[in-house]
Amino acid sequence: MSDRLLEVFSEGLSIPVAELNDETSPTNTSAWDSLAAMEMVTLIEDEFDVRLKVAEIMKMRSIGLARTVLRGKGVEGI
Amino acid sequence: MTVTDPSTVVGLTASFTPQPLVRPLRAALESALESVLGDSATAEVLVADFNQVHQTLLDPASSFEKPLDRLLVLWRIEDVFSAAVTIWVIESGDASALVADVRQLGALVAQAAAAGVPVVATIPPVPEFSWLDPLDTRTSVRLTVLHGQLVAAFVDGIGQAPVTLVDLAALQRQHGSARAHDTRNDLMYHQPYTSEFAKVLGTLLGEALAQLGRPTPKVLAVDADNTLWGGIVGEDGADGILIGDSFPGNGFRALQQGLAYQAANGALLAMVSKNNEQDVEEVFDNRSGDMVLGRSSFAAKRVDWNSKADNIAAIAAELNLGIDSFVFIDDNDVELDEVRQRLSGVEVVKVTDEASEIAELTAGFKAFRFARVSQEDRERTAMMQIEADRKSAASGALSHEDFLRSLELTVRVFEPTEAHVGRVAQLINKTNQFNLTTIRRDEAEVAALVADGTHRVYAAEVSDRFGGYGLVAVAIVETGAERWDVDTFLMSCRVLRRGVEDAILACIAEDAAAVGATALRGRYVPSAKNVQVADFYTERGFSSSGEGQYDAVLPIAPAADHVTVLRDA
Repeated sequence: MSDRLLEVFSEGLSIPVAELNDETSPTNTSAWDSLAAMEMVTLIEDEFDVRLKVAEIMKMRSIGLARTVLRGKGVEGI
Repeated sequence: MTVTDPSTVVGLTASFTPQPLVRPLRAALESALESVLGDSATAEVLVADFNQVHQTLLDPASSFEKPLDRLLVLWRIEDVFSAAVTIWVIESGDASALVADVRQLGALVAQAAAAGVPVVATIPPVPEFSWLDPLDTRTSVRLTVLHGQLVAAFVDGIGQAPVTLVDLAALQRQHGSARAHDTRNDLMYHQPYTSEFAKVLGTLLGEALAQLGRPTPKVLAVDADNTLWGGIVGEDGADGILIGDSFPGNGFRALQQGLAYQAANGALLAMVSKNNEQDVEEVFDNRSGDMVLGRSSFAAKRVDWNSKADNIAAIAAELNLGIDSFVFIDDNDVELDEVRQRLSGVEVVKVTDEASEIAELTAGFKAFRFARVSQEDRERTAMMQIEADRKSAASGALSHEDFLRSLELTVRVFEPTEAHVGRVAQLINKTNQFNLTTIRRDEAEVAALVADGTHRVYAAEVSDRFGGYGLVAVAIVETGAERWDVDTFLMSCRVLRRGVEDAILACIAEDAAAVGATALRGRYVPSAKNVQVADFYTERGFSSSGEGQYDAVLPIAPAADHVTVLRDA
C-alpha cells in the first residue's frame, strides 16, 4: 500500500518517494522552500479534502508532523 | 513541413505569487501548441521576481534568464497600487493620481510590446479587501465606477500597441469572487486565489498565449434549419419555423444575436443551407420582425442542394480567404462530419436540440475570446508599432531612471533597537535571494550584535509614493579601526532594483569614513538561491581580494539621487 502523504510531498518537492520519510523537513531538504510549502498546502488540501488553518500549516515542519496534523483532523489511512 | 522551434519560452511577471498558475498554464499552452506543432511542442514558463511588474516591463531582458517568445503580465490594482486604492476606498477623495498611474502602467505594457515580444496582459479585477463587505452598496457602486475608470486608463495607456488582453475581472465575476478568492493564501503567500480558481485562470492564460499569432477564424458559416431557426422551412413554411421572442424560438433568436454581435466585431457570416432558395427568401421577407439577421448580414450565401464542404470551399475562394479561417455551425452530424473530413482546418461546431445550449453557443467561441489590439493584421500592426514608437518618443519614453525618479523612493537607514530585533532576525532567517552571505542568526544573537561595540547593525525602511514596505533590509558590519567588514547584507525581494541596496551601502561607507576607516570589505558566499547577487560588489567598483572577498577604498560613490536617504540623528 503506497503512502499517499509521501506521494503528495514527492509531487510538491519533485523528489522520489523512496528518498522521503517522516524526518524530511525544510532543514534537511533544500527543495522545501516557501514556494514548495505553498504548493504542498494546496496539494494536501486537494488530496485529503481538508482545509488547513494557519496554525496547522505552521506545525507542519516535517512530513511526520504533517502526518500528525492530518490525523488530528480525522484523516484516515495515513 | 514547416520548421518551427517547438519550445516556447514565456516570461511571467505578476503582482502576486503566480506559481500555482504555472502548471495549468503550461499544460493548456502545450496542448494548444501540440495541435499546431505536433507532440514535440513544449513550453517553458519563467517567473520574474515577485511584484516587480513595473521593473520587468521596463527591462524584460534582465528580468528573465533567457530571451522570451511571450511576456505575460498579471496585475491587480490592490497589489500594485495598494496604499492609494485602500485609502481611496476608506476615505474617498480624488482618484486622478491613481488613474494617471494606471495609464502609465498601460504605457509601460505598450512599450514592452513595441520592443518586439508579444504581450498578454490582464484587465485587473475590481479590487477586493478582506475587511470590506462585498455587498456594501455604497462602496461597491463607488468601486465599480473607479474600476471602470482604471480599466479605461489602462487600455488607453496601451493604445494601439500589439497587446492581447485577458479579462481577469470578467473571469473572476463569472467564477464567483467568493469561490475565487482565498484570504489565507493571500495573507500567507501573497497568492490571492483558491487552488480551483488558480487552475481556471492558469488554463485561460495558457489558451490566450497559444492564441497569439494564430489566425483568427473570420468566417462563421451557418446552416439555416434548426440552427438559425427551429424547424425546417421546406416543411413547416416560413410562418411555421420557430424564431422570435417566445420559447423555443427565443433560443434561436439568442443564437442570431450572438452571430450579429460577432459580425459587429469583425467576423463575416455565410449561410450554407440545403434548401430551396425561395423558401429561405420567404423567411427573410415574412419573418424579419422575429429575425435578428437579415439578407445583408451575410457576406456570402449558398442555398442549394450541393455538398456543404464544396460550398464552403467555394465561399473561401470567393472571399479569397484560407479554409482555416472558417467555423462551420450546423445541427446535422453527417454534414459536420463531411466538412471535418474533407476540409481539414475548418472548426466545426454542433448545434444541439437543447435550448440553453443553442442560446449560449456563440458564448463558447473561444477563438473570439481574447481581445487583440491590432493583432489581426500584421501590416497594420507594423504601422501601429511605428506610430507607438513615435508617440512614446514624443511623450518622452520612460527610462528605468525616469521610473525610479517617479517612484519618490525614501529609505530610512537606522540602527535597530530592541523593538526591531524580531523583524531583523526574521529577515536574516528567511531571505534567500538577495543575501550576500546567508548567515542565519536568532533574535538573541542579533540583540547581542546590536549591543556589541565592535559591530554595527543597520536596518532600512523603504517607502515610495505607492506606499510603505516596512523594514526590508539588514546589514551587519564589523567596525575595525582601519577597515569595516560587511558580514551580512540582505534585502527583501519586494524592493529589488530600485537602488535601495546602494543607498544602504553608501550609508555604511559614509559612517566608516566618518570614523577614520579607509577601506570597506564585503563577502559573497554562494548558496543555491543567491546567484543574483554574485556580482554585487564588483558591479559597485569593489575589487576582488580573495575567494568571495571584495575590497573598496573609501570613500565610495554616493547613492543615486532618485533615493531620499533619511538618517537618524
